[in-house]
This record gives sequence, structure tokens and C-alpha cells, in this order.
Amino acid sequence: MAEELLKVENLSIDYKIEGGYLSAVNDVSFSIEPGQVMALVGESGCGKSTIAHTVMRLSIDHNEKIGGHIYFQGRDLLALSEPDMEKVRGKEIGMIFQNPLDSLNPVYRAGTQVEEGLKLDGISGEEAKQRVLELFKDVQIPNPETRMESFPHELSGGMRQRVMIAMMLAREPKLLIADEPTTALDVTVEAQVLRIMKDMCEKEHAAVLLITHNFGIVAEIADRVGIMYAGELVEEGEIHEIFRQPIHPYSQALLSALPRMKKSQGRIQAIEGNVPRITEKEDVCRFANRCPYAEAICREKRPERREVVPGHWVCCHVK
Amino acid sequence: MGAIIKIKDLNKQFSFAKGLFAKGITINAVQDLTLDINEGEILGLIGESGSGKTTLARTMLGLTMASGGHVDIDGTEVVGASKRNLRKVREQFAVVFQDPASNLNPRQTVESSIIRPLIIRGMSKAEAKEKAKVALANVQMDLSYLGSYPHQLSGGQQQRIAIARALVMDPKVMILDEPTSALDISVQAQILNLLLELQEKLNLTYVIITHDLNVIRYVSDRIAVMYMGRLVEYGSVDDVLEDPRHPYTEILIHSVPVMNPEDRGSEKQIFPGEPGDVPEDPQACRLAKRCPYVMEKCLHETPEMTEIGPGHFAECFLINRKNARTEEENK
Amino acid sequence: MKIKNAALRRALSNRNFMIGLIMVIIIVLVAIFADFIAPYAYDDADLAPKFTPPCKEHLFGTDDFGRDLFSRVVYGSRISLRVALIAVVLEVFLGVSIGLIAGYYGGNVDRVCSFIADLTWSMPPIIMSMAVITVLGKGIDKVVIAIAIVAWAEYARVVRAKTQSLKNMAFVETGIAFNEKDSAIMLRYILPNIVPSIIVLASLSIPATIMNTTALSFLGLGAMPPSPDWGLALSNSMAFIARAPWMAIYPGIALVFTVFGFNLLGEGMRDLLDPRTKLR
Repeated sequence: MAEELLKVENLSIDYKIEGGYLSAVNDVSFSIEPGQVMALVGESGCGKSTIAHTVMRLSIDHNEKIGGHIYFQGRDLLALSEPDMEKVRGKEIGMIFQNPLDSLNPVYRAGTQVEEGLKLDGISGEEAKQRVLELFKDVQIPNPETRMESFPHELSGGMRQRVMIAMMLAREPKLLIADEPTTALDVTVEAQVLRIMKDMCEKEHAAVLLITHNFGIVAEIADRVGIMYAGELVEEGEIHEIFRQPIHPYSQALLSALPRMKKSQGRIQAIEGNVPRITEKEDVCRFANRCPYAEAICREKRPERREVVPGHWVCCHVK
Repeated sequence: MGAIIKIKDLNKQFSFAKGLFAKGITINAVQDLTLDINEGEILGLIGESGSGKTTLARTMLGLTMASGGHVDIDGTEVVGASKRNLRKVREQFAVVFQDPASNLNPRQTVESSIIRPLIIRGMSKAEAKEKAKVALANVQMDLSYLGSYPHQLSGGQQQRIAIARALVMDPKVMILDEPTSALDISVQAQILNLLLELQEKLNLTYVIITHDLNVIRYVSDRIAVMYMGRLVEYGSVDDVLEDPRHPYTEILIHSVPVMNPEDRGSEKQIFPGEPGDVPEDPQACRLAKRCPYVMEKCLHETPEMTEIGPGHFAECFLINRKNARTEEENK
Repeated sequence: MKIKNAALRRALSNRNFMIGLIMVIIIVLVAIFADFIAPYAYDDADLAPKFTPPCKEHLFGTDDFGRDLFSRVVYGSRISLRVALIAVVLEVFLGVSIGLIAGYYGGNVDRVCSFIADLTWSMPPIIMSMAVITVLGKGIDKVVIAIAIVAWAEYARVVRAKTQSLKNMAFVETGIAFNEKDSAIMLRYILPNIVPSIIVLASLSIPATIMNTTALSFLGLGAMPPSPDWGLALSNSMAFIARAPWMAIYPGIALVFTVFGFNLLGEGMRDLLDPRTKLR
């Protein structure tokens, strides 16, 4: 097995509130190999975005308690000093967000912003401009020479996202974290951006941690997928296996809830009940009250992570 | 069952006035749109940004004034309607918008929000409250929620209340604009199934507007595809999705991510350009700059809506071309 | 004592709000019970020798007419509060109505309303008051009108902006789609959602109004003798500042206390009503 690029071990993130802690992420473990595309899927509040931000140590909330380890190339990111983390952020690990308008500085031209990154790597002047041009061509921005001079508000959503990808990949990171990268884009543009992301990452041999609620894009580009529910990673495995034979009841329910056919061909299965609000940590299975297979033990003890098949992990008592 | 809504040559332009330093721009939000919507059917209206689908819905409700054309709702003309006729037309509709949180007045209880449309129509408060209870039961929510305020409810619950409010009005047509886009997958499943159940039970007519092809495939009887203000193709679900004749429909279907990793392939065609990449010439076909089958003619003329089969229409000069896909499959 | 209601708990723990509230309550009680608190009538002259310094019978001393200053300050609170209240009510009524209409209808209606608002807003209160007084004559109630005319625009501006954004919200459009009348939209849909902002503006407006009317009375444009109005008292005290400093000090303290109290209350309310910090 290749050496792991990113290894998340027993990660727990709690938010302090009046009278206790809320468990936003509970004991999550997974790893990503170099060049691999790993998707973290789940519904709102499941904690996937929190994990992504924590890997980059981007959380702004000072009321957090973080437990566990995030090893990147052997080093625990959670133990790094801020100056050391700054060297990692942007350079070793890049991140693109859902709304590129928020990530791009409105008063600087697109090309300039990408150049800024290159400057940090010691590339400037004419060489930097050439590199930016190359990158813009790679991400298929038409008329790259002109576009380099454009301001973010002059670009469409799809263009901006491409600029973001160019900006991140300019620094040749080993890992790219993409948090809902195409949610705000039109479908036809989404397809283009996904393809570009996948191709570029393959070319640069960069791994991707893809955060999304959209199973479609997971099916399109992911190698492995982890399914999260209420702060826990309930199932994780290779993409074809998970889609073909999901083991955890939540994974099964979620896949059955996707509209993939015409109504004449059958009904999608809705899951009874609602996603639980973040609460204090409890030693139970958090899906138990909605699970059709729940047994007594599910309400008494939190299931452990088991490897049911090599490379396929599930947290369930019953399955 | 006949057509309950007859739209003919509908046009809506938005003009931005000339400023001191800016040229005046005109945007054709909806152009030359002709379509019938039948009683008791679910019509899925699909398009990306700029397609005009929301403008179309707003025009039907009179929230936006059309620039020209006709919209006949069960005998009453909407375009240029008098205030009285507009009120009459609006009584035929109920609408549910996208954002569950802003669909409801934060300052009103669930009950107040639901009975309000009935009170306006002159119903007594007591009678309206009874109807509200029935509506709530129809959307499978407990009566105890009547006294709740929107912020106390989840997104899915808020959306159900919005649907309940639409139901009490006994509308002829329900317009749902992206009803589940803001909801989680599991909640979306609940709401979609609920909508299907209600439609069957009460024989409602829905116009469902969305950008999500999977949702539209699941719920619709017929599909209408819009691109840059024009209706480019329409027909039954089977016709449009299995035998798309307009290149844009093809592009759309191919762009939607597959739901099965087995189906992903490197020969998947990615089409260039974005919504908004329209040719300079306003006479040209709107898709000309992105169309894989574009001909010289397309750059100067807009094709007309042509019949492909019973009920299946598309506007393209190359209706009878072999689609790239069908050609592959036929080999 | 565990307090269940989260909102109440927040209110009680907000220092600005609580201190401000206590101060305002004190002033209001003083104004209401002035008859019981003040030992003498405010215009009773020659109760004691003029310019008597503060002592047991006259807590704040006496003024240039031998009147008890304490009683005058106590009764003065009535004037300040009444004036502030009337002015703010007028401003709110005018500002909210015009703001709603301008924001809802837009177009030319909006242009006209905004123009008028900008016009009145740019007039200095002093000049405006002089104009009003020239037309209507002197007196504290005329001053109130003058202040209200200048200050309503602030409400209109805020209400207009909020109306414009609320107008596009789904629940408002839904209301229009089921045939709500314009007036109903404005009063049932938009207005209730603007009320928190109006409350904050009003509570911060009160101290400003008190300051303005006091200034105008100080200049002799407002209250007339023998009114115990604090501004007038301050104006009066200037000539005797060396001889009887208490004539300026005590009305001054009362003024500062009142304005400060309302300011704190307003700040506290703004914190509490800010939707971003509101707990669900």
C-alpha cells in the first residue's frame, strides 16, 4: 500500500456552548493516498465541511476543542505552530470553496492573483506571467491573455472557479481540498469544471478531498467515498463498492433516496424522521432512531469502526 | 383533459436605460414562447441560469408584466389584464418558491400563514382554520405545529407548510419554483414523494421549475426545455430524455453527472461554453456558439418549432440528424 | 433562580440594556411622581433667599428667583420626557409611512419621497426651528414639531431600504400572488419585520431629541419662563455661574443622566434585537 498522504485519526471537534460541548465531528478516521480522489458526502450538518476547514486549520471559532490527529506526510497538522502551518497552507494543501466570488479579491485582476501565489514560490516577473498563461490554458479559459487582465466581477461563475483552480494548482500542492466546488454552477458548466479539476489533479498528481452533498459528482470523479452522518463517518470504501453494495443502513437509505429514474419505474425511498441537531456526545448510534434495522444495542453503545472487507469500513452493530 | 394554460408568442424584455456613460441594454428574458399546459399533468420546466424559466412563471402569476404575447389561463387573458382579471387569474394559482426560510412570514404562526389566503377570499376564520388542519394532515405534519413560528421548524418542515398553504387555495395549477433545491437529499425525497401523492390524490396540475434533471425525470409527465429565453424542446418524459432532438437537450443530459460510477467514461463529451455565450446576431440560434452541430444557417436564422412525433417538438434545423449517442448505440 | 426564557436571560445579562433600563425607569418614575417627590412647586418664588447654596431644606439650593432648584429639576423631567416622546412618535409615524411607500412603490413615488427626505434631512435643526417658530410662534411644542420635521427622514431611509429588500422575499411575492392588497402587504408582511429596527432607532433617537430640544430652549427658542425645562434652566444659570454654580450643575447632571440612560438602553436594545446575534 502506498504511503498515505493524509491520515486523519480519531478526529473530534467540539464546540463549546453554555453548559457543555456540542459534538460536531466525532471520532473520524480516514486516509488519502497520493493522487487519489476522496469524497466526503453527507447532508447538511454532518460535519464534512468542518473537517475540511480543520485540515486547513481555517476555523475561526475560538470555542472549539479539537481532539485526534491529522497527519500530512507524517506530520500532525494540529500540532504545528501557526507559522509552520502557514507554510503548508496554500503550498502543500490548497483549497477551493463553493462561491469563488468570496475567495477572489474583487480589486485585483485575475492574473495578478495567481501571480501572487507564484511569487511566494520565488517565481515572478515575466516567468510568472508565462506560467499564469499556461495555467489559464490548462483550465480552458478562452482568450487567456485577455482574461488575465479581467477583474473577478467581469468573469462568470465557471470562469472564476477555473481561476481558483489555476490559483491553487499554480503552487503544485500535494492535496487539493474542494468544498462544494460546483454547487453554485450551472450543470453544463459544472461538468466542465469537474473534468478540468480531475484532469489537472491527475496531471499534477495531486490528491483531492472533495466535500459535497451531490452523489452525482462523487460518482463522476471519486476513487473513494466516505459517508458522514451527524458528525460521524459511518461508511468508507472504494467507489464502485459503495455504490453497488452499500452496507451501512444510512448509506443504503441515502442512495435509495436519490431520484435516478422516472416515477413510472418506481418510487425513491424517503427516510423517516429528520437529521438530528448537533448535541452533546452520546455513546449511541446516532442513526438508531431512523434505522429500520436498529436493535437494542444500537441505543446503548456507539458502534465501532470495522473493516468488513479490505479497504471498506463501516460503523454499525448490525451489518 | 384539455389545456388549462395556453401560452402563445410570449415575450418579456428587460431594458436597462442608457446612463451617462453606459449604453442601454435589452435582455430577452423570454422570447416567442408557445406552450400549452394540460389539466392534471406535471410539467417539468428545465433550464440553467438565464433560461427564462423563472420569468415565465412570474409572468403567469402577474408578478412580472409580459412585454407581449398571450397567456390564457382557463379562459382569462393575463397579458395586459385589468386589475380585476389579474386577481381572477391569480386565484387559479398557488406558488411555492425555492427558499424554505423565506417562503413564510417570520412574524406569523404557521396557522396564520396558511389561513391568510382563505381570509382574503372571504372565508370565515373558523372555516379557514378547519381547512388548515386538513392541509396540514395532507402534508403529513402534526397539528401541534399550527402555533409554531417558521424559525422553529426545519427546512423540510418549512417547505411542507409552504405546500400546505398552496393546497388550501384549491388551486387549478401549482407552480413550484425549485421546490427542493435547498433541501437535503433525504428531505427532498420526502417532499417529492409527497408532491406526487398529492397530485394523484387531488388531481392537481403542477408546473415544476428546476435545473435538476434527476428531479425532473422523476416527477414529470412532460418536460419543457428552455435555453436563453427560448423554449427549445418539449414532449413527454420518455421522448425528451430518451430521444432528445435539440442539441441543448443533448448537452444537458450529457452534462448531468452520472449516478453510477460504472457509467463514467473518458469518452464522455464535455460541451464548451456557458449559458450566456450567445452570438452577436440576434437573429441567430441562441445555441450557435456552443452547438456541436452548428451550420452556417444557424448563425443567421432562428429555427422554428418543428414536430418530431406526436406531442414532441424541438426548434432546430437538424431535427433529423443522428445524435452522436444514438449513432454509437446503433453501431 | 433559573430563568427559562432564553430571550429574557439574554436581556437581563446585557449590561447596557439593564443599566440603561434602570436609569430610564428612574427618570420615568421621577416624572410620573413629580408631585410627590418635589417638596415645593416649581414656580414658587421667594421660598428662601435667592442663591441659597444646597442645604437640608433645599437639596439643590435656590435660583435667582429664590425657587427651589430640586423641585424645578424634578418637574423638568416631565418636560424632557414629554417632548422626546411626542417628537419620536411624530418622527416614527411620518418616517415609517413615507419609507414604506417609497420602498414599496419605487419609481417616481420613491424619487419624490427621497427628494423630500434628503431635503429636510439636510436642514440644521436650529435653522429649521427658527423657521417654524417664525411661522408658528415660540413655545416648546413648536420646537417639538421642528425637531420632528428634521428627524423623520432617518426613519424613512432605514424603512425604505428594508422595505426594498423584504419586497423581494418569497413570502411577500407569495402574498402578492394570492391577491393581497398593497396596504396589506405593507402592514402585515413588511412592517412587522421592520419593527425591531424601528425600536432601536427610536430608543437612540430619544436622547438626540432631548439634546436638540434642550439646546433650542437654551437658545431661548423653546420653553418659556417660568418653565422648569432643563435647557432653559441652564441658559438662565449662565449669568450666575460664579455666584451660584449649583444652578448649572444640577440641571446639567439631570440632563446627562437622562441622555446617557436612554443611550445605554438604545445600545442594549440594538445588541439584543440584532438578528445576527439572536438565538433561535
